[in-house]
Amino acid sequence: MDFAVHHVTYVCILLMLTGGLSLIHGRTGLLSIGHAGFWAVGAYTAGFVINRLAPDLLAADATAGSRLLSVAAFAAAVVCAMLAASLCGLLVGVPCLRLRGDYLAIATLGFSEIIRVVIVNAESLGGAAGMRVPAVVCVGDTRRFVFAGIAAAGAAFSLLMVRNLLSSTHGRALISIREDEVASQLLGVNVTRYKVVSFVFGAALAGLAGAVYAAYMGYLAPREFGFMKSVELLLMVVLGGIGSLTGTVLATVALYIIPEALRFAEWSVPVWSLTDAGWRRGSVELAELWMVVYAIILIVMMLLRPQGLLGSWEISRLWKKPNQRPDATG
Amino acid sequence: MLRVDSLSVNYGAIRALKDVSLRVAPGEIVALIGANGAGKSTLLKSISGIIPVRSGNIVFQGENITGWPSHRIVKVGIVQVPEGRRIFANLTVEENLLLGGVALRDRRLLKTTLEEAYDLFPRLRERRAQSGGTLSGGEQQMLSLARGLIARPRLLLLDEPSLGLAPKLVEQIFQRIADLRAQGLTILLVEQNAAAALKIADRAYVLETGATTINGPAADLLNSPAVKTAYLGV
Amino acid sequence: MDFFLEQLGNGLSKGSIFALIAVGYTMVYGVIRLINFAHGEFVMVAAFAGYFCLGALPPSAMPMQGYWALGASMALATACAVLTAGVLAVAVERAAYRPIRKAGRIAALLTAIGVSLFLQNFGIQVVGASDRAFMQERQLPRRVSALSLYKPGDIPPADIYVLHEWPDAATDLEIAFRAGEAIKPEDLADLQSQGVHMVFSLCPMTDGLKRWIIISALAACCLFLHCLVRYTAFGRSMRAVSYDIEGAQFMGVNVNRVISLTFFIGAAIGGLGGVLLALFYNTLDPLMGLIPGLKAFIAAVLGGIGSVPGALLGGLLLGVVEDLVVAYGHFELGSTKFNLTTYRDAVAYTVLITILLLRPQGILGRERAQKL
Ligand SMILES: Nc1ncnc2c1ncn2[C@@H]1O[C@H](COP(=O)(O)OP(=O)(O)OP(=O)(O)O)[C@@H](O)[C@H]1O
Ligand SMILES: [Mg+2]
Repeated sequence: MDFAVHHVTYVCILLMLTGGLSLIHGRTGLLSIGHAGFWAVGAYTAGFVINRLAPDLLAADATAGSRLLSVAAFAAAVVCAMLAASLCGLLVGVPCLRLRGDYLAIATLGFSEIIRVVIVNAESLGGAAGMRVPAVVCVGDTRRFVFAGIAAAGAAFSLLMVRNLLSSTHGRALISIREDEVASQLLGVNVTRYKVVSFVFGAALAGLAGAVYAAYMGYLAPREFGFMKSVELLLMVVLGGIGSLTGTVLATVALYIIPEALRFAEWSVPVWSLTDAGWRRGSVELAELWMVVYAIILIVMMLLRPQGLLGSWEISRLWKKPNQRPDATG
Repeated sequence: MLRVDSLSVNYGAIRALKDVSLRVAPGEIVALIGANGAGKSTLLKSISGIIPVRSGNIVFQGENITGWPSHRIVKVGIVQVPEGRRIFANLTVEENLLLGGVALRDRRLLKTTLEEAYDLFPRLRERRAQSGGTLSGGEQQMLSLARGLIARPRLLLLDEPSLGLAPKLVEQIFQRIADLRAQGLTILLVEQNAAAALKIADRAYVLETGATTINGPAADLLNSPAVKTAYLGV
Repeated sequence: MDFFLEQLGNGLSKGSIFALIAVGYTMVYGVIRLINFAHGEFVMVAAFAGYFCLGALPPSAMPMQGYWALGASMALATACAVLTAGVLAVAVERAAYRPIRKAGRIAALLTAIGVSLFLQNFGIQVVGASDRAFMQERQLPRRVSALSLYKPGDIPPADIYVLHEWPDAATDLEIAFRAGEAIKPEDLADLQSQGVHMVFSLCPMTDGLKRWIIISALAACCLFLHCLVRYTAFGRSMRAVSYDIEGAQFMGVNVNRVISLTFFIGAAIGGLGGVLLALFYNTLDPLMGLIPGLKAFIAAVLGGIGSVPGALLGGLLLGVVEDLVVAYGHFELGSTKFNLTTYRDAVAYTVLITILLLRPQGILGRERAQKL
């Protein structure tokens, strides 16, 4: 049960990340392989703010006032994290967005790696050893439920914002960029502005995710925010369907649950391994093979269905009249 | 020599050619004329194996070459001088010519055809070490034509060889084409300049929105009222 | 000054490795505009192929002696690595990249990331995640001599080991005399009484030697690539394909074959880089290709992606800049102290972003208009 609550919280944090990434990638065709960088900025900003404002407000004998203060500190941390992450989004977005797709991808990767190196080297952020974040909002048995609630609210907020952004005229402009950048430029869509806006917004959601993560986990390690994390997030967006928020949500949940379930199942499979003395037969748990399976899924998906499982299908189509489809493309 | 039977080609959902049939006999010049976007280049590209055929057959010297990859088609002797010259600006003039001969296995043969090409277009010999991109439009067209001849084709497909050239040069190019035929080369010629093309061609086809509408001896087409109003601007 | 030269030498050898790896990125990008993310993993697989080949045929098992044996064994290992990388790259291109060549750059990049992930994790499954020493001491070539050549009071310049049997590759090293210590008469007598007749010393892989190997490998590759690209039919076809694929098809170029060969050559040279990388740090593991791969990619962008001389130049520059920043990165400006020495890894990424913003076509690259 406790474990289930943890998983729900974690999935909700992931949803904030993939929702933002889905906005950036799915709807503008831009590929960011450094999304974990924005997440890191949010998490460490929040951690820093909480360390400053609420070092130990929630000791055993905490008063109601200091409890309230710790909630305020958390709120301040969320705001600061979102601001810092969107500032970074702006900083990366404005100069880099005129680069072509694959170059932009590499630039975002470079950016996120710089962030990671800076964190590892910054003593005030705990360096390679990681950063401890004091407890805020509440402690004790109810804590995990409170944070599950916060994370769920954050995820709902993120997904709603992304959806609204997409179904507005703004969203239509973004889709037209994905379909044909040059043509939409000629039609008077301010391509760069839309790109920057979606980029900054996606980054802000990553900042939010970072703040919730920092407060929930109580400890931040720089290696959590590495390149592999960015790739994992990207895969969730891509597998679900590039341009489908429904697909993103499903893929996020599925790709989180499957390895957890495999770990739980403890199935073992025979494998051959190569040692200095030659080939040797052994066995390994399926959960450990998950990354291999993951990679195969990605490759096969690209070969068979490059637009992702759901393409750009949205669940809302089930109850919307066909002519109201927000992204009916010609 | 070349037989195209009810060929259809699609670009995605758009049908670019439907049921096009065409014949080229050895030693002939066959002209293919039609408005912009009629599908002339598409037809030549599918003969060259560059775009996939949806249905129909292409038979060259009794061999069904439908669906063959482009490099095999060049090897059996169908060479195309593409629309817009397609000179490789990052290669020198000589390298462009040598590239035209990639299908030739025999190094010595390549050397002699290279010399022949230089004899045919002495201008190119002067500029052999120059980058292909720095040639003038007319020189590029000559290079493109010379490059097509390097591989010793049996059937030459010419896509708008007169595009963007001054009238004097156009005349020269057509003269060259007539000379090549006199040497026994078979030519399928696509032209916007319908009058000039019909004058040197033996037979001609008119392509309209992806289908052949009129065909016959070139002289007949030159005098046909329908062709006159639509393509000769008379 | 000596410190500077030392750093420069170090930077140049690391840069040479980057350069060798960068060639593969640039050649592949040149022909099909794909950032082959899996290239770093080709490098890794090559290093492992070299490692296992070296394990099977160590210098001590070669019919020659001393550094000749080392050279022969390394040459075999390198050939094995280079071939493995080339074949792997061709297979990956055939199976994963060719089918989606027309699906757009993003799909291609994602597929490449998938292949990279696959090779890393598959590698972890097959050879384990822990790192290994590329060349172990007992594999080093031996210089054998008779025990009778040593007199009491001699000071051997290197450790001398007992040779039990001839030839014995497998036994552990048993020290007879230590380097720099005078030989004691009783030690000598002791060995003689044990029936030892032969002893040997090792030919070590010094840093200086590694540096020479790496830099001359780069020079050889430069020459090879220059001749290949400039003077062969394949080089012409490759340049033509990179300029205009369809145009090359009109000429009768077998585009698929050119692309396969490009992958082969790029990965083979990267494979050489992989062996040298393993040699340089004397370590290898399934994730070893990731960071050098990224840095080599940055080097390719720095030099101008698509340009082979650019990749070589970019690699050398990046290697040197990285090392110099680390060596001279602590300084004072006014009253603030700056210490950049631990920011080695950030240097490359900063270079990348700077170059993308100021001159995306790189140092030697030519500007190319976006195709509409
Ligand atoms: N790669 C392509 N993708 C989609 N449609 C194409 C493509 N190439 C050509 N078309 C379409 O196919 C039709 C025929 O084109 P094609 O180039 O064969 O015409 P053409 O007769 O050669 O014209 P022109 O005289 O202008 O060269 C045109 O409507 C064109 O828009
Ligand atoms: Mg045309």
